[in-house]
Amino acid sequence: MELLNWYRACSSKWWWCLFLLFFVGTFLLGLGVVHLFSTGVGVWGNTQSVAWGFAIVNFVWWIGIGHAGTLISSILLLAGQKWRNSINRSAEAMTLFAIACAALFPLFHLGRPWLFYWLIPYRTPMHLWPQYRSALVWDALAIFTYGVLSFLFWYMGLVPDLKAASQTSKGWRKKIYYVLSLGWTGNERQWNVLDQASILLAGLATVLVVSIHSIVSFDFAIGINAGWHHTLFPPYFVAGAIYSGLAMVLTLIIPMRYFLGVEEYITRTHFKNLRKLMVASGLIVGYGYLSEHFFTWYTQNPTELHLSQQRLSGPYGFFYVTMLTLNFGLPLLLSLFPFEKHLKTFFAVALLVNVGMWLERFVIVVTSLSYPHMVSSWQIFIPTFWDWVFLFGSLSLFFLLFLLFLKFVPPISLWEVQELKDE
Amino acid sequence: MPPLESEREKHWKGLARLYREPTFSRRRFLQYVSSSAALALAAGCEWKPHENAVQYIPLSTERFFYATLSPFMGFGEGVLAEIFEDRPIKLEGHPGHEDSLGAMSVTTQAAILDLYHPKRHSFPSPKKGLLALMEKERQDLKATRGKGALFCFNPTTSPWTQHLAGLLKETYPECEILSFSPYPLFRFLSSTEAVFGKSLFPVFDLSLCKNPLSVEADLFSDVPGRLGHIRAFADRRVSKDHFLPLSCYESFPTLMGLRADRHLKALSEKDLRHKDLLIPGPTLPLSFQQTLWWENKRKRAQGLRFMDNPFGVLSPSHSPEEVLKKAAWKRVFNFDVSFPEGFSAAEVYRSRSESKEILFSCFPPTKSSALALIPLSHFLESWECLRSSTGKLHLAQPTVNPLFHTKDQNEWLYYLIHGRFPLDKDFFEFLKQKFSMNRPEIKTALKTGKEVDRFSLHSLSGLEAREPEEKSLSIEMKPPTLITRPDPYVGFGERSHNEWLMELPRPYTQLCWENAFVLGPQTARHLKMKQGDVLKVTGEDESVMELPVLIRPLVGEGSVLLHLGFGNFKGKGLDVSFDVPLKKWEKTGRFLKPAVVQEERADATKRFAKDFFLEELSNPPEDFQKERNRFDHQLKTLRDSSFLKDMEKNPLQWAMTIDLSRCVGCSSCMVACQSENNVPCVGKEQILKGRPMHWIRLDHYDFDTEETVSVQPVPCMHCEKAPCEEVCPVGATVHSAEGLNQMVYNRCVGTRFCENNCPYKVRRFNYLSYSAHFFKDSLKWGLNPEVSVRSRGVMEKCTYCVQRIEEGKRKDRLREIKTACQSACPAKAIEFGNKADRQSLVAKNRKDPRHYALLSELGTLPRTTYLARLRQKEVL
Repeated sequence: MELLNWYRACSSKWWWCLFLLFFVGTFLLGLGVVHLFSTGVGVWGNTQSVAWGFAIVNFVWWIGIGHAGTLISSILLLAGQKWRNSINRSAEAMTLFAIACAALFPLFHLGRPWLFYWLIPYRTPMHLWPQYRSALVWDALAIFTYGVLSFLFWYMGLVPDLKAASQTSKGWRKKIYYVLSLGWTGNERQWNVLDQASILLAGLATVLVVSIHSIVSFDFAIGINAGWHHTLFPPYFVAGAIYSGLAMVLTLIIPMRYFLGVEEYITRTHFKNLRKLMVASGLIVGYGYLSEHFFTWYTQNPTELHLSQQRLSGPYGFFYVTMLTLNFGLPLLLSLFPFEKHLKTFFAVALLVNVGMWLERFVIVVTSLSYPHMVSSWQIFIPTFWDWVFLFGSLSLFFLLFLLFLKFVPPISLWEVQELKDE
Repeated sequence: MPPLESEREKHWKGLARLYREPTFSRRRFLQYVSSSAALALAAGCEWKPHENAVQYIPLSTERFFYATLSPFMGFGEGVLAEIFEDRPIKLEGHPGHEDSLGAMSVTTQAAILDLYHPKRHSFPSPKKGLLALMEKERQDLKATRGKGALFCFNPTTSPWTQHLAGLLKETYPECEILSFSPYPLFRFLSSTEAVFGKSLFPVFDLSLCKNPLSVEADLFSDVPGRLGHIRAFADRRVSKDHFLPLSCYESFPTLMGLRADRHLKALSEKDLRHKDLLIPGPTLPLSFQQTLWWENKRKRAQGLRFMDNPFGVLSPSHSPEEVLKKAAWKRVFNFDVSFPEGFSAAEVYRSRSESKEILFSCFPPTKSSALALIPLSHFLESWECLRSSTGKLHLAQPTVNPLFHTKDQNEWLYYLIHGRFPLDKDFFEFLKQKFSMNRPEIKTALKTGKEVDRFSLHSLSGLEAREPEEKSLSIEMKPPTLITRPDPYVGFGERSHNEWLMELPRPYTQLCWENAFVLGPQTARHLKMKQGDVLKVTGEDESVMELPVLIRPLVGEGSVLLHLGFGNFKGKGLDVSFDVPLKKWEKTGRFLKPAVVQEERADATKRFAKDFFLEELSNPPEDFQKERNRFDHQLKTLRDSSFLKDMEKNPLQWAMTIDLSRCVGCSSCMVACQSENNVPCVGKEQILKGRPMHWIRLDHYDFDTEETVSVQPVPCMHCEKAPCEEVCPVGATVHSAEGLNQMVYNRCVGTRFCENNCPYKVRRFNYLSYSAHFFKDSLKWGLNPEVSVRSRGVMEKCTYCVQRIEEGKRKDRLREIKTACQSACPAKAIEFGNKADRQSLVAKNRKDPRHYALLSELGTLPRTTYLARLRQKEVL
C-alpha cells in the first residue's frame, strides 16, 4: 500500500527547505525565551493599561486553531461524516501542536514564570490553593484537559497505523513503531475496544469543543472592561475558534496533499465540506461583530460607545476594518464561489482568514484594554521586536512540529481510509 | 559533710599565716607572687569572637524625628526628619513651622534622595588633597588680603552665613562678594525699592483678602511660604462662607492660575477696581511690578505685608555683570551658585572664572572648567538657621553625621577665615551673641523647631510710597513669543540629578524626564502641528531651538511656553525678561513622542473629576445627585447582605476621601508616596512605553468650553467589591477585615489579570527589574525598611500605607494614623481614617453633599471617594 511509504516524500528537497526555515524560526523563539526569562515581560510592548498583549492574543488564537481538529475528529465522527476519515489524523495532529503552542504562551506571559505551578491545585504546608473565582484557573484546567484528551484521541487512532508501519518499515523505524504500537495485533477484540473508545472519547471531546473556548472567552467575559464584558462571548469565541481552525486545516492539508501526492484520498468533497463549515462558522462570527455593536448602542454605556467608535476609526481602526473584511467578507465570498475547484485561491483565502482571526483576538484583547473606563489611562500598545519574534517563533514551532509529524507518523489514517474504501 | 577546719587550712592560708610559717622564705614569697600574677593573667584569657564577626546589638526599631529646615530660595521650610537606625529615611512636614504646617513640598521631599544619591560622592579629589589645597588658598588670601578673590553666594536669609560673609570681608578686605541667583523672585527687592524707598520682601496672606488677582504669579510653587498659601487658599474653597474667588492673568499657566475661577485676557482699570489684592509675579517687568505695588498701596490691600530685606549683606547684587567685570580675578570661590544659560552674568562669569574657579557643590555639575570641586554637605547634615516667609528665624540641625565626610558652606567659610572648621559650640556661640540665647534655649529651639527670632512686618498703611513714574499694566510683545519659566521641579537644572523629580509629571503639562514646547490649541492649529511634532524656533539673536510640541489649553495665541532647566534654552536676555521675542517659528516635519503620562485628557461629560458651582452647593445637579444615591443604595445593599456582615463587624474600616476643592494639583502626594513606599523610578524609556510606577497619580482633564483644568489624585480605591480580587488565579490580592485591598507580593506570579480588571487602572506592574537600582551604592540606605521592595514580575499598588496603619494599631493611636500622601498634602485635600468611627473626618466627609464615588455605575463600592470641586460662576 503506497500510503505506507509516505515518508519517502519527506526526504525531498521541499521538506528540508521548509524544515530549515522553521528550524531557524524556532531557534529565534528559543532565543526570545532566554531573553524573556532573563529580562522580564518588559521586553514586550505591554503597558500598565494594556497589561495583556501579544502573548494572550497568540494564546487565544492557537487554542482556537486547535478546535477544528477536535471538531473533525469528534463531532463529525459522531455525526457519521465518513469523509473526515482521510483528514482527521492531520487535523488532530494540528490540534495537538496548536495546543502545545498555545500552552507556551500563558507560561511566557507570567511575570514570574518559574512559579507557574501555583496555578495548579496541590497540597502545600501553608494550605494555599488556587483562587477558583478566577477564570485563569478554569483556563489552566481546561487547557490541561484538552491537551490530554487530544493526545489520547490522536494516539489511539494512531495505534493500528503504527503497527502497520512497523510491519513495512526497516531498521530503527521498525523497532520504534513496534514499541509505540503498544502490542496491537489487530484482533477482533482490539478493534472493538478501539471503536468503543473512539466513540466515548469523541463524546467527551464534543463537549470540549464547546467548553474550552467558552472558558477561554471567560478570561475576558468575566472582566469588567468595556469590550470584554459581553455574555455573547462564549458562542462567539467557539464559532471563531472553529472558523480559524478550519482555515488552518486548509493551510496545512492543501500543501500536504500536493507534496505527499495524496490527491486521491483528499478530494474535492473534503474541500467542499470544509468550505461549508467555514461559511457557517464565519457567519456566526460576523453575527457576533454585529451584535457587539448593537448591544453597545443599546446600553448607551459611554465607555463601550467610545470603544466601538475607537475600534472603527481610532489608531487601531485599520486592524478592525481588515478584520471585518477578512472574517465577515470572506465567508460571504466562500458561500458564493466554489473555491474547492481553485485550491491555490482557497489556500490564499485560508491564509487570510488566519490573519483575520489573529486580528480579531488582537482587537478584543488590545483595543479593549487600550480604552479603559478611566480616560486618563488610555494607552496605545506598540509591539516590540520581541513581540513579533514570539508570534512568528510560535508559528515556526507549529510548522516544524507538523513537518516532523509528516515525516514520522502516517499523516492519513490508513485503517480509517481502508474502512472508507471497504464501504 | 563539711570539711574539717584543719583540712581547709591545709589548702588555703592567708599571707599573714604563711609569713609565720618556718618554711616561708623570700624565694617562696616571690614564687607566690609570680604564680598569682600568672593565674590572674590566665583568668583574663577567654574565647574571643572571630575578629571579623560583628556583634549583634538590638537596634531601636522605633522611629523618631529631628526638627530641621529645608532651604528654599534662601528661606527655610520646616521639616521633621524621620530617623530609622540612625539615618533619616523620610522627611515629614513640621506642623509648628508656618511654612510647612505639617505639609511638604515636592522638592523638599525629593531632597532625601539627594542625601543618598550615588552621584554625590563621586568627586575626584581625595579629601587630604582638598584640605591641603584649601589651606594653600587660605594662605594666599591672607597674603594678598583677598585681592583678586571673588566669592559667589546664593542669596540667603541665614544670619550665620551673613555673619560669616561679613567676617570674610573684614578679614580679607580686598576680596569681592557677589550674591547671585537666576531666580526672578529676587526682583521683588528692586521693584519695592522703587516704590517704597527701601528694598522690601512681600509677605502674602490669602486668608485676609476677598477677591485677589494673580498677575503671572504663582504663590503655590515659587514663592516662599508656598505651602501656607496653598493651605490658606484650600481652607477658603470648601464652603460658602469666606469662599475665595480667584482671578488670574497669566501667559504661562501656573499651579495657582489653574485653580482660578476667571482667566482675564487683559488687565483693564475696571477689572482692577474690583480686586482687593493684586499679586505680581516675579517675572513681570519691574515697571509692571511697581504699578501693582502702587495699586495695592492705593487700595490698602489686605493680605499683603512686607518684611525688611532679609538677605542682609547677601542681597542679590543689582548688576552682577559689573561686579564680575570689576577685576581680573585670580581665584573665584563659588558656593553652589548656578549661572545658567541665557543670563548675561553667566557669560561674563564663564569667561572670567575659566580655570580659576573653586566650586563648592553637593553634586558635580555636568560640565565644569573648575579648578577644584569641593563636595558640600546636604542640608540634613548641617547646622543652619533660616528665616521663614514672614521672617521668623528657625534653627536647622544635622540629622546624621556627614555620610561622605563633607563640610557645608558655612564650615568652609569659617575655615577660610579662621583656619579651622567650626565646632558646634562656635555656632552656639554665634547664636548666643547675635540673639542672646543661652544653651537651654538653643536646646529647646532645636527640640521643638520653634522660632528664635522674628521680624516685625510692615503693613501697607504704614509704608510711605511714591507713585511710579511710568506705569504699565501690560507686557508689550509682538507674537510669536517664547515664554520661559524655571522648571517647577528642577529649577534651572540644580536638581536635575534627582530621579524622583525628573520622573514626576510636571503640573499641567504632565511631562516628565524631558522638555517640550507647549502651545495652545489655536496656535497649534495655526501652525498645523500635532502633539509630538518638532517645532523649530529662532530667536532674535539667531539662536535656534528645536523641541517636540505639547498642546495644552489656557495658552495664549502666539506664545510658545518653555520650562528652563533642561539645557534647551539657547537664547539670551533672561536677566531682562523671561519672555523672549522670536523671529520665526516653523514646523520641522520630524516627530518625537513626548514623555507624558496621560495621553488623553478630554472629559467633556465630567465623569471623573466632578465639579459644580458654589450656587449649586445646596442643590447639586441632578446627575450628581443620582450617582450619589446610587452609591448610597449600593452601600446599603452591601450592609444588608448577610454575606459580608462579618466584615462590617470589624470596628476598623479604613477609608479615604479626597477633596477636589482643596486639591491644587501640586504633586506632593506622589513624591511622598514614592519616598514612603520605596516606589522605583523607571526612566524615560519606560514612561514612553506607558509604564509609570507611581502608586498615586494626578489625572488632568481639559475642557473645550471651560477655562479650567481639573486635577484628580487617584490612588487605589480599595473597593469593597474589588474586581481585581476575583480574577487573581493565585489569591495574591485579597481583602482584609478592615477593608483594605491587600497585595501579597510573595504570592503574585504576574498574570496581570488584576490590572486588566481594575477599572481605575491604579495597579502597577514591575515589567522589568525596576527596583534593582535601589541596591546600587548608597541608595539602599534611604529605603524605608518597613516596606518590602518589589521584584520583577510582581504587581504592586497603593496599600493605604498599611505599615503606618499597623504602627498606629501597635501604639494604640488609631486616630493619628496618616498615610504618606495625606501628611504631605499642603491643602489637606486627602483625609484618611476609620469610617466606622463617626467622629472621624472621613466619616463626616462621606456625608458631605459634595461626596461621590468614582465610576459608581460599576458597583465596585470604592473606599476612596471624592468631594466635588466648587467653583464660582461669576467673579467681578
